[in-house]
Order: sequence, then structure tokens, then C-alpha cells
Amino acid sequence: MQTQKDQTIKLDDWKEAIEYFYEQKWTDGLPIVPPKREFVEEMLSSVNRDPDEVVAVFPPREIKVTVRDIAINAVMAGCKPEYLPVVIAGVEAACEPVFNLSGINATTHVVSPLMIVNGPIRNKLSINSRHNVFGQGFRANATIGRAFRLCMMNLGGGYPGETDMSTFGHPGKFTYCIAENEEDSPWEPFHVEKGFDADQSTVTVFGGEAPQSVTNHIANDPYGICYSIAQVMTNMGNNNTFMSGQILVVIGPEHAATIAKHGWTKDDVRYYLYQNARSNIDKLRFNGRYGWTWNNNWPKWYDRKNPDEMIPIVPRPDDIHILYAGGSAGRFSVVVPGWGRISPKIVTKVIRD
Amino acid sequence: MEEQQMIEVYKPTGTLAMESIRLSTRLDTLDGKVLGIVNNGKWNSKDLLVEIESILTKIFNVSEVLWWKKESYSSPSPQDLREEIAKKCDAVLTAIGD
Repeated sequence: MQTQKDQTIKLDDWKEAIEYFYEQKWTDGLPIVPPKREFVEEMLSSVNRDPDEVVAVFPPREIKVTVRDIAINAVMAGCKPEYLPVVIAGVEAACEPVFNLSGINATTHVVSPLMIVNGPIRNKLSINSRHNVFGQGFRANATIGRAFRLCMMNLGGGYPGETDMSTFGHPGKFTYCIAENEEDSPWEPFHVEKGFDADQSTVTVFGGEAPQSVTNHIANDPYGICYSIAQVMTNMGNNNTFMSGQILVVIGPEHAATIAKHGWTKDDVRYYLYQNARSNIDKLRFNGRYGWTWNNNWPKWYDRKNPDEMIPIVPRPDDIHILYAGGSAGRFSVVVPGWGRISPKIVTKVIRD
Repeated sequence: MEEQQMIEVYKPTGTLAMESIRLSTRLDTLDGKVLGIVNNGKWNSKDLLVEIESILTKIFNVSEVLWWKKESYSSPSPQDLREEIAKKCDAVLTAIGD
């Protein structure tokens, strides 16, 4: 594989470098750390991989991206060198064709890839899974997610209004990276549930809307809490309601404690939500999209002739992904709606050195 | 005064050399040409394309019209489908039809 001859540029100083990157549209709107050669070399020293190894073909530019390319963008985002393996695994996951990153990048919908980190690396890198898990204040979450977005822009070529046609976008398009709180969870970790070992570290990518809060400060049993979650899952504006696909539910510690106290497993929650997060067929036909023709996109077994038919938010219970995260105080959970069946599956990759 | 040292930074847009691809030569006419139509699968895509097909075939003496449908409107067409279309057609027409 041939490398470009002019990989670097010389600039007067840091200030000029920051401004130059703005002029070139090489940033997300925030100042970047100039990717000096020595910073990139230091970043690369954190992985046992050839810097010129091709990691993925990045859509929509369909460019072959190397370990070094990702390291450059990770430096710009403010990552510590030890974060690089997480960013690389995120790129590997998101560039799997089944994830349809090309579509996620280009669509008019708000969707952005959410990175979910599991396994021992969460604690090693201090990736937040507790208070303000989707919010500011944590370098690992902030910069790993940002590095991935910079890769989407600089390597993938996703520029707003040109190739990224999102009508609104959402704040997670700056950075969208969380961890699961495996230590306090009453249930098995997310990656173990998906078939990985507990001592493996993984990144899962999910194409998500912005998180939607579920408040329930009154129910003392799983039915009340899960009913509230089901109601948020089926609001008439999110994409899953009309486009099926997959959906993410992040259950907060206080809600989870009540649910677990009654002996409910994660599958009990999943099946309850599958059974109850449903919308009336006629309401879907004539309040969102496309009237009768919408029938074609549903599984065969939905009874299209029954005006009382209740349509599940996603086609199968396993399309509801459940995580445990959030602060210890507050009877809240969160629903992250997906893009729909056009990005049919989450993708999980092992993080390797 | 000592001259300030410049800083050397990487460009973030990819370090591997890219092969540049050019657009095909534009056609002067559709007379005698094979026209491919790719329905991307959105709800009104077919209606829109049928209408454009009827207009084009009235204006030009198109030799043949070949239709394809994408499996997912939001994913790129598979490589083998793109190659098949390129092999069989002189011109290709597609539209969203949202």
C-alpha cells in the first residue's frame, strides 16, 4: 500500500495550527490538539500494531484507514495514548457493512453511533458508567467519542450539509461514548450476554437518537417502572416506532434495584417491554408515515387486517438491548431509540492492544 | 532574536495514497443506448422513475430499459450489482422518491 508523500504540514505555532484546522474543516467545531509527529508516535506506542496496518474501509469516502490515521484523529480529540485501542475497535465495529455507517452518516435522521464499552478496560481508563454517564466531565468518554466523530468527518468525509445531511443532528454527534456499570449491576454484563468472556473488553456500536429520559418516582414494583419505559419506547416521533430495528434501554440503579428485588431477570424485563412497547396499527399507518404501504416492511405475522393489532416496537425481543448505568441517586432510566431496520444490528468488537 | 521553530503536524484525512476515479464520459444522446433504472426501494421511488422513464423513452429512441431494485434504500448497492449495471448499461438513472 502506497502512502501519501505529503502526510504532514509545517505551521508557525499551536495557535496557527488550531486556526488552520478550522479553515480546512478538519474539526467538529471545537479546537483540536495539533497532531504533532511526536504526539502521534506516542499515541501509536500504546498498541502492538503496525501503524500502517489497514483497519477498515471507512464510508462514505471508502478510504482505507490505518492505525496511524486513527491515532492522528485521537490526538486531535485529546485522547490519552492508552485510549487508542478503544477508538480503533470502535472504527472496526462501525465499519462492518451490517452497521450501515454510510447510511448513518448520510441520513436526514438525527442518528449518531453510540459507543458502549464493557470489560476490564473501563476501569483501567476510567470510562464513566455512573453519574452523568451521557454527560460532560470525563476525559475518556469525551475524547474517545470525539475521536470517533473526527474519524467520521476527516476519514469518512462526513461534512454537515454536504455528505452528512442530518436535518437536526443531536449533541451526541460531538461525542457519544458510555460504559456499563458491571460492578453494581444485578445482571450479567452486556458483552457477556452477547457471548463474550467477562475478562474481555469490548466496544459495541449502536446507531442512536439522543437519550430520552424515563422518570418514574412512584412505582415500587417492576411493572410500574417497565410500563413507563415502554411508554417512552413507543412515542410517536422516534424512528423505531415506524422503522422497527433495534432499541437500547439503559436502566438506572434505583430502577434496577426495584426490578431486581422482585426477582426479575434481564430477560423478564426484555419480554415485558416486547409485550408492552407496542402501538396500534392504525395509529402507525396514519400518524407518521406512508399509510397502507407501510405493511410491506413488517414481519409476516403482524395481523394487518385487524384494526386493533398492536405492533411491537422492534421485531424480536432480542432487538431490545438492556444496559445498567447511571448515577446511584434518581429514579430514572433512559431510552436510546435507534435508526430503524436500515441499520439492522449492533456490532461488538473485542478491544485488543 | 532566535527564529521561532515551526511545528510539523499530520494531516488528518488519511495517509494512504488514494486511487482517483473519474466520472464516465457523458453521453450526447440516449438514442440507441441501454438505460438502466435503479429503484432504491423508497415508497414513491418506482412511481417517480416510471414517469421519468416514460418521458425519456418518448424523447429518445432508447434501445432497451433494464430495471433493478436495491434491497435497502439506505445502504450502498452491493459491489456485484454495481458491476452488473455498469456492464449492461450505457446510462443509469436513480432517484430517492421519499
